[in-house]
Amino acid sequence: MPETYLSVKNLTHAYGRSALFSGLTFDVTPGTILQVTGKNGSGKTTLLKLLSGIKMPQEGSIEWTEEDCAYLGHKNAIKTELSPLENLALYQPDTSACALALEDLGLEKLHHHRPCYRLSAGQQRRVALSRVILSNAKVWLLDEPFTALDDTAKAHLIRHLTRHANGGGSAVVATHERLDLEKSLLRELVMA
Amino acid sequence: MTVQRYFLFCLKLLFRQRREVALPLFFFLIIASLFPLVFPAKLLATLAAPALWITTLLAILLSLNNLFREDVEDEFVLQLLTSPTPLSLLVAVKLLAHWLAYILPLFIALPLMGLWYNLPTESLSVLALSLLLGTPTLLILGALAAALSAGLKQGGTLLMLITLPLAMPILLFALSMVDMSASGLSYAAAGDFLFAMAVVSVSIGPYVIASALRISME
Repeated sequence: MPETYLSVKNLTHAYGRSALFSGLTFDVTPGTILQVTGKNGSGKTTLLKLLSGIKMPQEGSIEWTEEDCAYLGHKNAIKTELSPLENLALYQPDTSACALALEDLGLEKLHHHRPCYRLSAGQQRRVALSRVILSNAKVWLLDEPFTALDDTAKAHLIRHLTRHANGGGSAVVATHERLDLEKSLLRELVMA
Repeated sequence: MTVQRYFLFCLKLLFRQRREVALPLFFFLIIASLFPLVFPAKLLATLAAPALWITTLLAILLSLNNLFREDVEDEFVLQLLTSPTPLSLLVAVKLLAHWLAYILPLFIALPLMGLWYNLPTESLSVLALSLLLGTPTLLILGALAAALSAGLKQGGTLLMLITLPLAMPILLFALSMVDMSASGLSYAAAGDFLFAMAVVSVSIGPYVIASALRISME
């Protein structure tokens, strides 16, 4: 296992002349969950997009030792005409593993074959989170993952984050929610 | 996300969106059917190829409006960008599925149009061949414009404005193929040009479109 999955050095990003953040330096190490907090517009989403490679750094560097990461943005990136199982089949061909992941996040079997447009916002979010869990990626990049989730689903996600970190994985989670994780797993990055 | 799984995913999604997918075909059938109603019968044989080609071009543009827009709106494109599979391969797969769902049915409707325009079989075959050679390039050009305009509010109009001028050489060479065949001349040169354009655009198009998508999402 590498010492760090991800090493960020002097990362700077600006929109026009106004700097969003500058000189950001941190590591993402195995077995930790990095919570990114900060007020609206402080650059949490931009940071996650930079880490995932969707955006290119303007200054500074991002070094990955892992090839693969799983990204969940503000939106679910699911196709609502397809059922949860059909959406997940794109990432995992084993249908029973997909069904298990959905059930594990509290999405009952009767919803597995329904088109996603018939599901509630919270249920759709669970489908998107199942995709992350099924990805087998060592690093999860989650942008406001608790959006639209009820307390039960939030507890399920916290359990998955704990299991992921205990298994040597790590996650960068941008959220305003308090992450109810063991202190030894949790690190915090506050965006000014 | 593998190439095969993404191809099946695209086909399944297009099948679920079959009402939207059928619209360009209906557009093609309705617009192409209007010409024989308003032009004298003696002009129809001359008019058939331009009318059918222009209608096909517009039907393809209509189909391209939503090629990447929905993926950008629901952020599915971010899954493609962060996938370990090269984006250019995924783009190529998406375009192949798009060609099969939107453009192949136009070929199936072509014999019906041949009857409606009273076209000889030979002319209809050459017209079909010109469409077969020309539509991959049209699709790539349109997809490039769709990728560049995917995040814009007036993307549909921009798509037309970018694609139509670029499509002109394809249209002219395709029509010259049909003209030469009707005059009993060899249409090999025009056909070779369209084939070469198709090979070049299919080879480099997905890379360029992938780059355009990355720029759109920046």
